Amino acid sequence: MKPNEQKRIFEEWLTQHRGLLFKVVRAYAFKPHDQDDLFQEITMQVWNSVPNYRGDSAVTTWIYRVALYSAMAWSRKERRHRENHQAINADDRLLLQRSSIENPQLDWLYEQISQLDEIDRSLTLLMLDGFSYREIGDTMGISQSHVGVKLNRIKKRLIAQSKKEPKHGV
Amino acid sequence: MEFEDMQVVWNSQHDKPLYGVDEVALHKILRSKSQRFHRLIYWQHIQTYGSSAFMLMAIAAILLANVSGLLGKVDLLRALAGWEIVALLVAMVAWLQFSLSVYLGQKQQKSRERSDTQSLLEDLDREIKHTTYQIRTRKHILMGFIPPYFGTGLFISIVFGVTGVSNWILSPVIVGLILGLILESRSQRRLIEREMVPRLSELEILRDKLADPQH
Repeated sequence: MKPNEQKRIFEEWLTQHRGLLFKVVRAYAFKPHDQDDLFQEITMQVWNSVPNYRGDSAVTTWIYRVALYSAMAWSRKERRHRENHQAINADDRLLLQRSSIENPQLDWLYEQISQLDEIDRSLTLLMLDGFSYREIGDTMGISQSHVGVKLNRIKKRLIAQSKKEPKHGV
Repeated sequence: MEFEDMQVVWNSQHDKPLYGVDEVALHKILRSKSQRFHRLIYWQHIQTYGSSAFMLMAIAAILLANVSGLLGKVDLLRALAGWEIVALLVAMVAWLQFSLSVYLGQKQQKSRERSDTQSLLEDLDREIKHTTYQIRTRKHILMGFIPPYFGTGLFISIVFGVTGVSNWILSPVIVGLILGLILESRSQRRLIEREMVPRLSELEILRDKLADPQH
């Protein structure tokens, strides 16, 4: 694939699916500089993945898989190198948080997702974004019944948490 | 309180994106990361194939100088003995074997990276295989480096012999080569123990979590 073609597709994907990337970033990284770091990592992997995309699956599914896998790999690396991590200068931020958006319920939901393990976090994001069990199973590489078992457990946990915390719980 | 309510909260973010992106900075970062990666690969190739090409040309030059009779004619130099010619040919084979094994290893690696994966589970499996391969290769790195070090040792000893340099000077060079080999092997072992084994174990835990419905 020619670099110009790769760049065109990448920019198209980034424009159309940036919301998806933001959700993954927020579910896997919590401090602003970590979110920047993870966003860079994910976009780099999405860029590298462009020539490998053959159109067998929907672009959204493809980008989700690349983003989730990058986020899991980043979490592992981040855990190992946390002590040596250098803070990124606040002036050099790549992701600019929209200060006007205040949604305590959404914050609470992200907080609950962040407390799940990496696999359950991926499943939850796919479920909340409306993917069917079959699509989630294909993306994750597990059976639909297996997806069902895991998602039911996650739903129960989220509902139980929301009852414990009536202030921000939905 | 129900899951449907959470879904409504989740969907509310679709109208207003969570972040704004500094696109100019993003493209600059991606370009610089990509260039850094290509530079690293380029320098690795230069080091491996450059050192192989240098050694092969140096050995070929000595052999040619000997065949043309040049070595015997120059003051302070002598022609190669039969065993020295054989030793130089062995050194050549050792370096060829080294560069060929590196080339084939890189080719295998590229084909593994190209292999299509359709799911996260396959991505994890591929990464586990890749990390296992890296651990195995690095564990036996001493064996991989023996041919070029042996070839270099032979080459240096013959060059010293032809130029009449004392064997006393040769010994520290050989000791230096052996020490270099041991240090390289140790640093690879440290890398395996500190980085690669924990990484493999984390990957296997993730894979088990994903594959086990009860987890």
